[in-house]
Amino acid sequence: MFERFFNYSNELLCIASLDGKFIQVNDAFINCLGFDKAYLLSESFLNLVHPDDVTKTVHELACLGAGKEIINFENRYISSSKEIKILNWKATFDQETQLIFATARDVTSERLTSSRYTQLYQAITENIIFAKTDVRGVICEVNQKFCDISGYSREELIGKTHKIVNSGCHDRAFFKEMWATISSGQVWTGLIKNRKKDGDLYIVESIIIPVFDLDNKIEAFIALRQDITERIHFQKLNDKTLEMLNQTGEIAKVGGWELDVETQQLTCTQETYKIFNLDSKYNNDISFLQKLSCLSELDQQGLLEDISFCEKQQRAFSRECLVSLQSGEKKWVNFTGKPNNTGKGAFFISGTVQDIHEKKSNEIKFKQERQKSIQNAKFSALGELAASVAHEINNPLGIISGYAELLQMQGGSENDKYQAILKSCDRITHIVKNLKRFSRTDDTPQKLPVNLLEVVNDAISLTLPRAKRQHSKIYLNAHNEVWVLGNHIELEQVIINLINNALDAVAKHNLRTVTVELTKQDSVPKLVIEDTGGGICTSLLQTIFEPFVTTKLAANGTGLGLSVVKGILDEHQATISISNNELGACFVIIFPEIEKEVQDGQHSVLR
Amino acid sequence: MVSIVYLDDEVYLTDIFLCFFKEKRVDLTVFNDEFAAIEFCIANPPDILFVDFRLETLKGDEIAQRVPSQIKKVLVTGDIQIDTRYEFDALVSKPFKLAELLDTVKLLLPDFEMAH
Repeated sequence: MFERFFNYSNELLCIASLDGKFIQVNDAFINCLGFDKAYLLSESFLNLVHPDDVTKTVHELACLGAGKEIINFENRYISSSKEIKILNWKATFDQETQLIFATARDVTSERLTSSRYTQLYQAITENIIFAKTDVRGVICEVNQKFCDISGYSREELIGKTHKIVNSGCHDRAFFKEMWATISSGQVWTGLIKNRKKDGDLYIVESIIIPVFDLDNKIEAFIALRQDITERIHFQKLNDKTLEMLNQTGEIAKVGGWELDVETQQLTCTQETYKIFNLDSKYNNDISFLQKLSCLSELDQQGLLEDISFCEKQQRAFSRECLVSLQSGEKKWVNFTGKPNNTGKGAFFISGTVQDIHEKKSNEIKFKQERQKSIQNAKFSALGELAASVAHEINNPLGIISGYAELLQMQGGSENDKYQAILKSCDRITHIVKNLKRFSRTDDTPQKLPVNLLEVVNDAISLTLPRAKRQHSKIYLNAHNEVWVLGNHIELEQVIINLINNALDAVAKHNLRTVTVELTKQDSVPKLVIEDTGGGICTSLLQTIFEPFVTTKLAANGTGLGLSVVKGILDEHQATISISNNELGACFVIIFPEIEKEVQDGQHSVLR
Repeated sequence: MVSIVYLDDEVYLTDIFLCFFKEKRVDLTVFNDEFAAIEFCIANPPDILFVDFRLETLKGDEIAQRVPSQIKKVLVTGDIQIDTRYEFDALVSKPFKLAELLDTVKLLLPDFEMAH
C-alpha cells in the first residue's frame, strides 16, 4: 500500500545510499528526469547532477551522513533530453538502514520566472529612472538614476511625494487626470516637466504603473521615466533649423529634393512644392516620373540624362527648365543635383530647385532687346548706306529711265524692250527706297494704319535676291489691300524674318517654295507664310517661339529670331501660330481688326 | 507761253528735259552751272525753276533763296532724305517719269496747256 502512495505522489521521492546510488525512485522522479528506472538505479546519481553542482552535492551528502537533515537544498540535474532541472530537496539519513530518504520538488519553472523577473527588475532599476510610491504617492524606493537626474539624494527623496520635483509647469487638471487614471488601476503615460534641486528643468517621458496586492488592491505605484530633455532640445533645434531652412528657402526661392534612384521615389521640401504651386499634403507620394510631366519633352529628356550622368559619373549637374504649372502658367526653374551616398545601400541624388523666373525673364528680355537692337542696327546701317548711295544710283537711273521713256515715245518695234528697261529702273528705285526706310530708328515706333500688302511686297523685294540665289521661289497670294494698325518697319522685319527662316528650311529640299498669302477672313487680317522645308519637329512646335529654341545648327541660329518676331507681334496685339502641313511649316499671323474709321481716314489721306 | 528753267549738273538729265519739252508749248532753258542759272533767273524770272539739290558749289535750297520769290521752285533730287528748311513748291524724285514733270507743271500752273 505504501508502495502505491510512493508511486502516486506528485513529489519526487527516492531512497539512496550515501555512496551515491538510488535504491528506489518513484514514477514522478522517473518522469522528471526521463531516464528509465533500471538506468537510474544502476548509475551513480552524481553522474546525473550538473557538473558545476557535483561538489556541493557531495558536500551535502557528507553533512547528511553526519546526521544533519537537509531542507531546501537545490541542485541541478540534467535530464535525458539534456534539459536542466532544478530540484529542491528535503532529505534525512536513517541510521538504522543506512539509507537516505529524500523528497524533491521540480522548481525549474519557478526559478526561471523568478530569475527573469529579477533580471528585468534589475535592468529597469539600473537603466531607467525608477521610483516606487505607496498608494498615497509617498516615495518609498528610488534608484540612482532618479537621484542623478533630480539632484536629490535617496534620503531626501524617500518619504516625500513627487511634489519635490514639481516644476509648476503643469496645471492641477494635468495631475488630477493622472491620478484618476492610475487610481482606477490603469497605466498612465505622458510627458512631465520636472524641476531639479538646482532649479533646472528636465523633461521625462513617464509610465506610471499601479501594482496590485493579492487582494487585487493597489498597494503601490511604480513610475518609470526616461530623460528626454536632450531629445526635446534637439527636436526644438531641428524644428527651428527646418523652419529657418523653409524661411530662407522661401526668400531665396530655393527648394530641396532627394531622389531614391532605385525606387524613383522623390522627397521634396515645402518650398519645392511651393515653386511648383503644388499642395505638399497631397503630393508626398508622387513619383519622380509623374513630377517630370510638367516639363517639356526636351527638358524631361535632358533632366533624365543629367540624372543618369550624375549616377554613373558621380558628378553634379545643373539645368534650367521651363515648367508648365497646373494653372497653365509657365515658370523658369533651375535644377541642381549631386550624388548622395550617405544612405546605406540606397543611392540618392540630392538637389535643389530654384525659381529663377524673374531673373530668367529679365535675361531673356534683355537678350531679346539686344537681338532686336542688333537687328535694328544692321538694318539701320543698311539704310544709312542706301541713303548715302541713293543719289549716286538715282541720278544715272534717271538718265536711263528718262532716255528710255523718250525712245519709247518715239514709237517703233522696240517698245517692249524700253518697257523692260523702265520696269527694271522701277525695281531698283523701289529697293533703294525700301532699304532707306530702315535707317529711321524711332525709339517708340508709332502705330499707324499700315497697308500690309505694301509691307509684304517690300519684304519680298528684299528677300527675293536671296531666294533667287538659292533657286527658291517666293509666291505672293494676295488680291486686295489689307490694312492693320502698326509700324511698317517692324512688321516688315517680322515678315523678312519669317521668309528668311522659310528660305533656310527649303534650301536643302528639292521643292523650294515659300508662299505668302494675305487675306481677310470676316474682316480679320490674316497672313500665312508656308514653306516646303519639311516642317518642324513636333516636340518643338510648342516651344518654337520661346527664346533660344532653334531648329538650326548652333552656328546658324541664336534661337532669338522667332522670339523677337513674337515680341513684335505681341506689341501689335497680333497672334502667331505654327503648324506643319504636308510639305513644310505653316505660320499663321492674325492681326486685330482695324477700326473702319481709322482705315477710311487713312484712305482719304492717301487720296 | 510757260517759261521753265532747269538746273542740274548732270548734262544727260538736262538733255532729257530739252528733248521732252521740245514739242510742248514751253520756253525751257537749261543750265549745268548754278551761277549762270541764278544770273539768268534774276534777269528773266521764269514761271518755274526745276533745280537739283547737290550741285558743284551750291545746294538746291541756296539757289532757291537767291532767285526771285515769285518763281515756283521744284526740287529734283536723287536723294531719299534731304536736310533743308526751304519749302519748295513741289518735289520730283529721281528717277522721274516724264509724265511726272508735266503733272508738276500742271499742278503749279493750272492754266498751262500742253501742246500736242
